Amino acid sequence: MPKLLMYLMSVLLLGSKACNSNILGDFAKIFKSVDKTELYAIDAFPTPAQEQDLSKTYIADYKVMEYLPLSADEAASLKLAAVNIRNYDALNVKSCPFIAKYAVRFTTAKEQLTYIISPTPCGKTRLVFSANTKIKDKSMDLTQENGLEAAIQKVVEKSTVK
Amino acid sequence: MRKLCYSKAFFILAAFCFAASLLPAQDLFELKFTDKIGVKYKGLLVIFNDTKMYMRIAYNAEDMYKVVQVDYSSEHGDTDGSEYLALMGSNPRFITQAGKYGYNPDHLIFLEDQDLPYLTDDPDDTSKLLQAESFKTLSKKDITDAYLREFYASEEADYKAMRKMYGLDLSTVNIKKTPPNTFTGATTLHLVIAANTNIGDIGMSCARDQASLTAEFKGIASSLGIAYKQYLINGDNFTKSAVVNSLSSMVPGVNDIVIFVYRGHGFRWSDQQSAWPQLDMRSSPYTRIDANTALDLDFVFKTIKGKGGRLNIVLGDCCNSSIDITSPITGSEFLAMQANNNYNSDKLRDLFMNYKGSLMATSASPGEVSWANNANGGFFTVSFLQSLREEISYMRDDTADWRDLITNTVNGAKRKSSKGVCSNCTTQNGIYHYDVAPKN
Repeated sequence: MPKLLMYLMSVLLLGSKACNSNILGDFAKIFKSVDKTELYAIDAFPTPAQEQDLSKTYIADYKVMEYLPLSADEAASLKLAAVNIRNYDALNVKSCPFIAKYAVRFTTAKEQLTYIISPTPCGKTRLVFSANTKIKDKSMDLTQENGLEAAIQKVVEKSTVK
Repeated sequence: MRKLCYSKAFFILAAFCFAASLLPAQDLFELKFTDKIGVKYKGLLVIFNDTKMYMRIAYNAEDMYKVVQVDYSSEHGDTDGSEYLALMGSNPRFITQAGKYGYNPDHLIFLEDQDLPYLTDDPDDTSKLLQAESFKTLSKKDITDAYLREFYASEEADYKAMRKMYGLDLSTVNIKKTPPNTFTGATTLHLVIAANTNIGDIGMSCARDQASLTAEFKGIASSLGIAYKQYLINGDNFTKSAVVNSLSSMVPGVNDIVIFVYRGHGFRWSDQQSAWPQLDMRSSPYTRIDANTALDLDFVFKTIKGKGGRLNIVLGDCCNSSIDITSPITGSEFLAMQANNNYNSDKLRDLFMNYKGSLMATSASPGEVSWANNANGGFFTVSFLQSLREEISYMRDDTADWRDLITNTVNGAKRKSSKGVCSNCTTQNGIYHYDVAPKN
């Protein structure tokens, strides 16, 4: 079966590449021109705009609890993990509540894309775009042992040691 | 939008199959194909449940009409981001005379953007790959006695069962049996569904399950000739108070059946002892999880049980994994499918009218997540519907039994979430409390 399947995938699925490339959606293009990558520890739930404290910082309505500085290598790892489709489950979803813990923000000259991360065991991500884009926000389940959480964890562990 | 990439054929099976081995009871499909030397084949694919399926293939060869049966197992997954569904054939055996030549079992491969499946009888020789000429779901109007006789001998058990299922057996169609219900008085089936249809990640799967469940139980009530009352808590009305109010307003009689199904997010407090999950009654991510939004499934069960209905079924299709929030201290406790009406009415009546007691089940053990598929619904809910249909099917020889049904539901969801079927999932092991017994 694997041989047959590989054959089918290589020959027959050529015509479906247009579909495949859309797993991550149009936002994947943003990563070609990311200027800045930032990582934050955030509150578990978003705060409605009218209830937000003006003295605090919010990302996609989530209160920032801590800014986690990134080295160039760590920023590159996060960017790679964010764009790797193997980190996302396109088929199945877990029936658990999204409890946010981290936000990763990618900034280009024109727009911002923020990944809100709910870590394992309820591994999920919400992609929130800056208001000047027409791309709709998106939710996806993260795969088990995904690279995105692993990249974040490395930064968090480094910050904890300090 | 990704969904637009699915082909009709893939959707037909994917909707029914739900992750490859997730096939509902007694669905029939017809497949036609022609081999490289021009022999035409007509296949009848029979799906019993997620572990049992076969295809009868009829064709002419060696100046003989031949029918062969091939067993099938399924594999579902994605490669390079594209979904596939493979039905792997094995154990071919002739129903008619075999003739001089044997039959190599065909393997069927459904790809998400191909209208028709591919076939081969040799996975190692890709030059033998064929594409089917047609593939369709068979409806009741397609199933005639002559059609079934193309594939079955008249004495075969499956032939007889299908004749009953599709209303071709006049002995079961014309004779209206007296219900062997041992209860007197009217019976109402109360169906309470709390489904988080608005939430972004699983809303679509919840809506699908809600549609399947309502169609199924409405059909069951109609078949049994009993009253039906449904209470839907969904959309913007998906709140803890709406569930509380629905349960408060429900007054089941002593012969009534109460079925409660929860489809949504579930969790457990970090300091929770009970094995049963908390139901997350929030439809907006802006709402914080607290005592006003969390509902204990066990509390729902006890509340329903306390109302005195004859048969109480409480199902929670949700995660049972811990969140980093401790249990809040509260001052007071308070509370993809289409309907398939090919029921064996005797078994249906047995199951719903001649049992009493209470049953609670949830889709995952403490610490586990529970899985859903947006195209098809929750693994547990789909397994429940599959098991229910199987339990009341003409194709089963044994008597209908709630313990079999719930055991098959739990096992079905476990299988659907196992690595062989769902590569990205973690296995969910549902749990249940069983206190149901025959009335007599």
